[in-house]
Amino acid sequence: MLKIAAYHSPTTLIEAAALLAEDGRTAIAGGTDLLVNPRYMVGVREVVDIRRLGLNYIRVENGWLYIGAGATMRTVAQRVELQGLANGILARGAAVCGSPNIRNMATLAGNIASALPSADTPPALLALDAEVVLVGMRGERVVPLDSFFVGPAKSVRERDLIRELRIPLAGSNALRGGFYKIGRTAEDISMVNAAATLKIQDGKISMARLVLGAVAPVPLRVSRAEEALVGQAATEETFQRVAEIVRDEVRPITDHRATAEYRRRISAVATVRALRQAAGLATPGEEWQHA
Amino acid sequence: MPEVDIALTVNGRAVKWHVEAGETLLEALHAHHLKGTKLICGTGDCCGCGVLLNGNSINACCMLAAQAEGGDLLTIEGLAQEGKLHPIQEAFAQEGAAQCGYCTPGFIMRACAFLQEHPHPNETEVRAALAGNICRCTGYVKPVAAVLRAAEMMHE
Amino acid sequence: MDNEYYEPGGGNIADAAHQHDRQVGRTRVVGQKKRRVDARPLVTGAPVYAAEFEQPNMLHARILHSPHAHATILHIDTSKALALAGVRAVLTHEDLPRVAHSTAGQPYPESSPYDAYLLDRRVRYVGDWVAFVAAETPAIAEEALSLITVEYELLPAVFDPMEAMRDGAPQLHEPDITHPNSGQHFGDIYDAAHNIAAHEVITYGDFDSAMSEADIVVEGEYSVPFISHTVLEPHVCVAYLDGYDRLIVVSSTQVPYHTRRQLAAVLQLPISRIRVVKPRVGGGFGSKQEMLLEPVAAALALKTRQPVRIEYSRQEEFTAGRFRHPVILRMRSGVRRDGTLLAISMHSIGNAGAYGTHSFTVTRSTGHKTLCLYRAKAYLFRADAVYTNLPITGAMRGYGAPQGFFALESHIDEIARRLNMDPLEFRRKNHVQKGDWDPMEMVEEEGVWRSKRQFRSCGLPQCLEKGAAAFGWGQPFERGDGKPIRRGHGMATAMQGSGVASFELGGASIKLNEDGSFNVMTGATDIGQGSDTILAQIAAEALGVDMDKIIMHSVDTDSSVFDYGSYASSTTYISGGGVKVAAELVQKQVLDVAGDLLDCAPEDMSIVDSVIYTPRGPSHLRVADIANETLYGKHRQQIMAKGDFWTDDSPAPFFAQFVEVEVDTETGRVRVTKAVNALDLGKAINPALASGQVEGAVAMALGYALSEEVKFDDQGRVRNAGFVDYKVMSTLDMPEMTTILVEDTEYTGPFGAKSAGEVPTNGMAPAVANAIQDALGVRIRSLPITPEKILQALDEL
Ligand SMILES: Cc1cc2nc3c(=O)[nH]c(=O)nc-3n(C[C@@H](O)[C@@H](O)[C@H](O)COP(=O)(O)OP(=O)(O)OC[C@H]3O[C@@H](n4cnc5c(N)ncnc54)[C@H](O)[C@@H]3O)c2cc1C
Ligand code: FES
Ligand code: FES
Repeated sequence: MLKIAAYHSPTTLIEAAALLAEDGRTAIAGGTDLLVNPRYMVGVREVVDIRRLGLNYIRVENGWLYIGAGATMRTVAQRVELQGLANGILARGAAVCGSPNIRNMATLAGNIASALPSADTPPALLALDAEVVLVGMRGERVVPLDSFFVGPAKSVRERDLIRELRIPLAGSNALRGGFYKIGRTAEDISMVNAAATLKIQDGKISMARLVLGAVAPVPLRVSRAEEALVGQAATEETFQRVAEIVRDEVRPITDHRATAEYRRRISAVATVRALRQAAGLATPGEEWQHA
Repeated sequence: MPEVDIALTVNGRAVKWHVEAGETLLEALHAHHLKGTKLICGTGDCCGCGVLLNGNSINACCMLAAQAEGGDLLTIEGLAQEGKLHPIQEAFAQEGAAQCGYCTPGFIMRACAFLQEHPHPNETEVRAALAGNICRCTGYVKPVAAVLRAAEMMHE
Repeated sequence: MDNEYYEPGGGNIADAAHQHDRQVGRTRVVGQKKRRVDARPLVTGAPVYAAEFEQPNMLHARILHSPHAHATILHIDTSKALALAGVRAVLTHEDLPRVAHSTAGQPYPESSPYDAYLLDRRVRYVGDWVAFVAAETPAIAEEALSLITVEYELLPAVFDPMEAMRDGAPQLHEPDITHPNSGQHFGDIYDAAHNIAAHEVITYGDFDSAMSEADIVVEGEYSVPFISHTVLEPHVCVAYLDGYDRLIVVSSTQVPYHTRRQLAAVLQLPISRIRVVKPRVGGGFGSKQEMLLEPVAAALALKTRQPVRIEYSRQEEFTAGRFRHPVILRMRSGVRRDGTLLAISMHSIGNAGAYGTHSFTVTRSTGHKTLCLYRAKAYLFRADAVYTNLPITGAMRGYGAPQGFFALESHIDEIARRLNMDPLEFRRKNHVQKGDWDPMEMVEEEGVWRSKRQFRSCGLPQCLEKGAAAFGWGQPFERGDGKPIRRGHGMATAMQGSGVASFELGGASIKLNEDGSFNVMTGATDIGQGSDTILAQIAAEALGVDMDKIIMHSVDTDSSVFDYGSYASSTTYISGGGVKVAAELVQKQVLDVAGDLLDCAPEDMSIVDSVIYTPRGPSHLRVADIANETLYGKHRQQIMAKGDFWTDDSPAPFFAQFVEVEVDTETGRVRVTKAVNALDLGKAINPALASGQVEGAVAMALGYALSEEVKFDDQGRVRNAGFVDYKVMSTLDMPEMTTILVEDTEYTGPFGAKSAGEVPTNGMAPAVANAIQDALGVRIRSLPITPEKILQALDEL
C-alpha cells in the first residue's frame, strides 16, 4: 500500500508533463522500484501512471533506435533489433534484470530514471552512447546518458518525464560488445557489472567504450581505460593491462553485498570478460554468467 | 484514503472494483476474497504473488490495483475449469511439487505464462523461467519436473 | 579394519528385532507414491491457510518494535494512538500480567529458561516487542504505531557471545526470574551474570588418555552464521471468542498443544478455555515450534472482544522472528596413523540472541546429535549458549546438528587429508555401525554407566556405497587445473534422530463411518512436509483399506489426540507409530464383528482393500457392511479407538552427501554442479514425499553453505531484512541432483520407518567446503562460503 492521495492516468504526454510539473508527484511505470523502495516515495503524495501514453514502442528511424518509456525489460531483451546490436549487450543487460515476472513489469526507462549505481542496463546503454529524451513543461530536451546520472538515485531529470531512450545506429554494424554481470547468486542485484563496445580495425582497437556498474555513485565510464584500449591489439594482454587501470579507477563502497576491496578486484575480472566477448575471444555463454 | 473505480476482467468475469489509490493489485485481490495469490515478500522478490495480466505473468505486490484498469486478469482461482484441474495443476499434484503449497500458486501461474510461449521446453528453459520463484520446501526438483510433465500433458 | 576401540554399552540388537511384530512384508499403500491428501486445495489456491482465515468484524493487530538493542522503557504514551479513529486497543507492559515463560514449543516443563515476558519494561534487541495495537484496518493499526511515543533509557548492548560472557558485560536477564512454577528445577538460566543461557558437558571415556595414544592431533575452529528459516507463510494467526466465550486461536503453528498450554499460562486462563486450530501451514522449519503471535492476537481479542488477526511482514520475519543459532566450534581430535579415530572433542559457543528459547536443547544437540556418528575411545563435548542483544535464535530444521556437522564433517575431512586417506575410506573405517550404542546417551543406573540408545538400524554403509557409485566418487574428472574455473569433489555424512527420546507423545483416534471410511483425528501437525498424507497411508495400510477411505483432519486441540507437534523429525516415527496402533485396534473391532457374522475367529481374518477375508478367501462382507451393522444393525456400537506412541528411543536416520563444485578462482564464486543425496530413512512410507524432503533440505543447506546470512550493523540492526539481500537458492543455483533412498528397516518404527525431514540438511555445507578444498587446496572454515572468503584464502595460499 502506497500512502498516496491520488492516482492519475493521463493519456497524452502534455497532460502527463503538466501533472508531473507539480510538487509531490512522481511517475509510475512498472512500479518495481516505486512500490518496493521507499526512497522513491519520499515527499510523494500522488502518482502519475505513464503507461497509457502510447510509449511502448521500440523502433528504428533515421539512423536511431528509439526505445519508448513503456517498453519493458522483457521486450528489450527479446527484440531482434537489440539482439543484433553490439552482440546484444543491451538485450542481455535487460535479460538479467530480476526475474521473468519483474522483466514483464519493469521498464528500461524506469531503470534509468531510478538511477541506481547497480542497475544492469545503464552500462550497456552508456557503451552504446545512448541519449535520454526528456519531456517537461519547458518542452523537450535531449541529454546524453553520459551526463544524466549525478549520484545514487539522482539524475539531471528533475521533474521531467523520460519519453524515450535513443541509440545512434550510424556505424553500429562494426560495433562489437560484451557484457558481464557478477551477482552473489544466479539471480541477484549486481555486485559489479561491466559493458564494453569496441570497434576493431585490422586487429587494432579503433574505438572503445567501457562502463562499470556498482563501483561508483553512478554507472562509471572508465575513460582512462578506454584511452588505453584505443590503438592497441584486441588481445588478452591488452585487456589484462586495461583491467589494472579499471581496478585503480573504480570508487566502490563497502555495503552488505560486498566490500569495496572485493568489488575493486572483480571489476577487473568483469572488465576482462566483457572485453573478451567484444573482441570475439569468448562467447557470452562460455565463462559462466550468473544470470 | 482516496479511492478509484476500476473495471477489469478477473478470471473471465467482468468486475468493477472500488480500490484505494495506493492499494496494490495483491491487496485488492485479497480484499475481494481472492486469496490464492499469496503475499510472501511484498517486494517483488519471490514471485509468490504471480498472476497473469493480459497474458503476462507479473507480481501483483508491486503494481497498483489502479494500474490494472481495463486489464484481463487470471489468478490461480481461475485456472481450473468447471472443477477440472488445469494440466499444470494436475502435474503439480501428481509430481508432489507442492509441499507446503505456499509458493505453488506463484509457480503455477508463472508456468502457465511460460508454457503458452514455450510449449516444448527443455529443463534448462524451465529452470530459467522459474528463476524468480522462491520455494523453501522442494529444492525445485519436483516443481521443475511438474512443469515439464505439464507441457507433455498439454499436448496429449 | 573397523575402529575396534569403540565399545560403549552392551546388549544385543536381536532383542529389538524380536520385539518387532514382523508385519513388515508386502504393503499395498505404504511405500507407494501416493498423491497428497491436500493436493487439490494447494494447487487451486483454496483459502486453507491461517493467513486466509477471516471472521466478521475482524480487527488487525500490529506490533511496535524496539528501535534499540538494549533499553529500559521509562514511559509510554498511547493516548494519541488510542484517539485515532478506528483504533480499538493498545496494550503495553503496564496492561499485561508479567508472567515469566519460554516461548519454546517444547513439552512441559520446557527445557528452556523462563526468561521471556509477553511485554516487559526492558527491551533486549532491535525488534523486541514494545506495544500491541488492534484497529479496524491494517493501515490504521500501522498509523497508530507511529503515534505511540516511548521514552527509553538506553543500556549498553553486547552482540558478541565472547564479550557477553566476560565479567562486567551488560547483563540481559536477572538470575531470579520468578515464574509460576518457581521452586521447581526448570526455567532457570545457567549463569545470568555471564549471560550464559544454557550450558552442557557430555563426556565418554578418558579423553586425555585416549589423546595420548594418538599419532596425530588435528584441530580447527569453525563458524556458522545467523540464518533465517524464511518460511514462505509468515507467522500468522487469528484469535476470537466463540459462542461459549472460549478463546479460539487459528494459527500457523507446528505445536498446537504446547501453544495452548503456554497461552493459558501467559494469559492466565484455564487451558479449558482455549482451543488452538491449525489449518494448512505454509512451512515451518522450526520457526513455528514457538508460541509467537498467538498471545498477541489473543490478548487483543480478549481486550476488545472482537476477532483479531495478526501476520508478520517479511521484514518482521527477518528482524523479530526466530533464527538459527550462529555458533563458533572448536574441534580437536586424535587419530592413529592407520586411520583409527581415538578421541573427538567439540567445544561450541552459540549465540542465543536476546532470549533463550530452545537454547539448551539446540546447543546440546550440536554435539549430542553429531559426535556419535563416529566410533572413538573417548568423547568430550562442551557447549554454551550465550545471550546477546540480537534477535532470538531457536529451533531450525536439524536443531543444532547442521552447525555441529559443518564442523565435524569438515574436521573429519581435514583428518583424512592429514592421513592421506580417501575421506570416504576414513569414514567407512570409523563410522558407527549397526548394533553400536550411543556414547552420547550414557546414563547411570545403579552405579553402572550404560548407553540407553542402540543403533538397531544403520544404512550408512549402503548410503556410502550407492551414493559413491551414483556420483562416481574416486573416478577421474576434469579438474580444470591451471584454468580460472576449477572443479572438486567432496562428501560428508550425517545422522539425526526420529523424535526426541522420552520426550514425545503422538498418535490418533480413528473412527469408522457407515460408508467404510475412517476419520483419523491426529494431533500430528502437517506443516507442509506431508505428514497428513504419510499418516493416512499408515492408517490405510494398517486398516486394510485404500487411501480414499481415510479422512484426515487438521489439528484441533478440542478433537485431535494430544500430540507434541511437528518437530525433531517425529511425525512419521512417533505419530505414525500411534496411528498404526489406533488402526490396528480399530481393525480388530471391525474383525470382531465380522467374525461374529461370518462365524470365524477374528485373529484368522484380515482386511484387504476394504474386503473382509477369512482363511477361505474374500467374504461377501466389506468394511462398510460392518459399519452399517454396528451403526444400524444388531452389533450396535461406534467402532473407534485411539492409539498413542511414546518411546525412550530415537532411531537414527543416516545420510551421505556427495557434491561436485566449480569455483571461479577470479571472482571466488562457487557453484555446486552435481549432488548425490543418499538417505537411510528406514522405510519410505511415500517415496515422493521422502525424496521431496531430501531435495528441499539439501537446497536449504546449499544456501547455508554459500549465501545465507543475516547481517547486522554495529547497533544490532538487521541490514538485509528481505529476499533481495538475504539470498536463498533459486532454480538456477541448484545442482543436478540425484536422491537415493536406502531402507534399512527400523523394527520399532511403523512399517520400519525412521525419519527423513532433518538429516538431509546436515551434509551439504561440509561437503561443499570439502569439495572446495579438493578443488583449490584451501580450507574454508566459516559459513557462508562467500566469494570474498575464497579469494582471501587463495591469496593466503
Ligand atoms: C525483485 C526485483 C529484482 C530486481 N532486479 C534488478 C536487477 O537485477 N537489475 C536491475 O538493474 N534492476 C533490478 N530491479 C530494479 C528494476 O526492476 C527497476 O529499476 C526498473 O527497471 C524500474 O522500472 P519501473 O518501470 O518498474 O519503474 P517504477 O518503479 O515505476 O519507477 C521507478 C522510478 O523511476 C521513475 N520513473 C519511471 N519511469 C519514468 C519515466 N519514464 N520518466 C521519469 N521517471 C520515471 C519513477 O517515478 C520512480 O521514481 C529489480 C527490482 C525488483 C523488484
Ligand atoms: S509477494 Fe510479490 S513477489 Fe513476493
Ligand atoms: S512448497 Fe513450500 S515454499 Fe514451495
